[in-house]
Amino acid sequence: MAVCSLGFLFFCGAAVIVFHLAPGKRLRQVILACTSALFLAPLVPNLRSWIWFAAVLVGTYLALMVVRARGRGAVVAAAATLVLLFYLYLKRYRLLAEIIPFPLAMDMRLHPVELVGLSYMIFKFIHMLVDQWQGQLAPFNLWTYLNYQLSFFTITAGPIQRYNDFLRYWEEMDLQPSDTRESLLLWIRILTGMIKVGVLGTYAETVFHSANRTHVVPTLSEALLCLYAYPVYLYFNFSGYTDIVLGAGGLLGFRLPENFNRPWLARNVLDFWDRWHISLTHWIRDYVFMASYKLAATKFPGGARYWSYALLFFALFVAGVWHGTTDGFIMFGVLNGLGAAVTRAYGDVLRAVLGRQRLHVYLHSPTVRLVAIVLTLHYVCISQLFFATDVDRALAILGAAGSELLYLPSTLSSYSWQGPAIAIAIGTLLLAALWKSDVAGSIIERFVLWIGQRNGWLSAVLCLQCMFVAGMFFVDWAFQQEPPPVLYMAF
Amino acid sequence: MPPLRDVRAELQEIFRQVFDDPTIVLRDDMTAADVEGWDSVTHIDLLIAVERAMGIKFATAEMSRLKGPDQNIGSFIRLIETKLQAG
Repeated sequence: MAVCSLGFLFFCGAAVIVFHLAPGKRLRQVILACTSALFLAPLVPNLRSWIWFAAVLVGTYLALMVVRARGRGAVVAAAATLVLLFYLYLKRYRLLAEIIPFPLAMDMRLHPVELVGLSYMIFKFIHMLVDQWQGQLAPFNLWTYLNYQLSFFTITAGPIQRYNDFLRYWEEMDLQPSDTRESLLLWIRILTGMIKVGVLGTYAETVFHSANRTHVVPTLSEALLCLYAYPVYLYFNFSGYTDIVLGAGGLLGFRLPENFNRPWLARNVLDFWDRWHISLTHWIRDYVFMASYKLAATKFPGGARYWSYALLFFALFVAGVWHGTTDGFIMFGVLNGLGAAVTRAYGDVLRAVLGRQRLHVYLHSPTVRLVAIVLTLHYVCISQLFFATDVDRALAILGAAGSELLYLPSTLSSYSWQGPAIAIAIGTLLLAALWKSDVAGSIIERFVLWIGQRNGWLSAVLCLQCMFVAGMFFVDWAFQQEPPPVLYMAF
Repeated sequence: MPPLRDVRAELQEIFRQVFDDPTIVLRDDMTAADVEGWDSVTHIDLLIAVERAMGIKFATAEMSRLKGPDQNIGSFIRLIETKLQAG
């Protein structure tokens, strides 16, 4: 079931009504389990996928049981390695499939096995494995494990909720339903997400595809549209999905971790990843970077700084290549890893050269902040161009934009005045908005808070959104269009 | 009976060394946002220094939790005291 669809809206509404009418914790838990099963069923395409799905769940649960019984690091390492190899193979990382000499009958590239949410299940499993080994995991059994892994608001594309947080809400299911104001806010969030995915994201994607005509050398305007439209699409598509599932989870009593925090205001690559797909970044920070850097810094304290650069590169590279198997994703990972390592090294150099007090002045300078935000924004847009296309096409787009920009002053007279004037006006407005982003953000936040405290206004907003979303679905139906997919469900 | 440790004073000294800032004075309500340069890398440096100085070990989930938005110096000190008492 597509999350940005009328079907999901009715599904959510029915689940919330049945859930809140049910008395007691146990019954509500059963209802949530049934809701997740109903959501999952159409997403598993065939019997072979069901078998593999069951094998993954049973296998990972048994590994957790062994770690709970024995508590040995070797078991943790073996289980994590096996699961990762299985994941790499199933996700069709060609390199691995060519190296490991599996018989043809076992080669999963030849079978239509599709495991929805496999990445997210593995993130959750490794977190449970490590935390269980270190004595930090809350009690679990097969029932809580299955519900944690398969809960419908996190299985397809996250956010990656931690088990202890899940269990806290799971055990609090007999609490009174949320008040009217909170329910209105959660429904508004779901509909906002649908508008983001269905209208804003879809429009940005259309702009990107119309500008990205393959086998044609792009003009400057097409190259710039490709550069900016794809990140806009990605943001609205994924943050819209996140709004929908956070709203749906909230209506059933689960507060899920946020995934976005104004990522376009990041002032470096590390800051960007702390604001974009936050639950994934924090997972990688905890279970890849922290674990490896702590080991390296303890064993080699003299070279800790250099280890931090290398491991930051590795962590962000992993975050990049997790998205896909093609050369474009590898380049995306390399650029993000490089950006993170250089950010860290630049910070160390600044600290050494400027000293503490001058560094403080530097970091709080509005001009420095503006320049840093604009540079980061463009670096991220360039890296996401490799995400959107392949290396050759991305280089062609960047090359075309670069050469046209170089010769722009001499060719300016051949352009009509409208294009550059509009571009300069939009650029100036965006820069002004960035310059005063704190003030603008604070005004918007105060306005949203003001509306959020008045149920009448909230109801009015919700009614307007309902009409807009109904119109959106009517257009989809009239033109026989499929609901827009959430890109991150493919990862 | 071993003398009681002044965890706050010890932690403050570690903070000053790790962040290279002799003016840091710890308060319970301070968070990572109040200490300039407290990012993911210095967070680990800080925890390694605390582990060495106080003879304790932090689990991955604890290291992560200490970076959370609802955590502050007060909760950091309480975690260290709990670990010291547990031996």
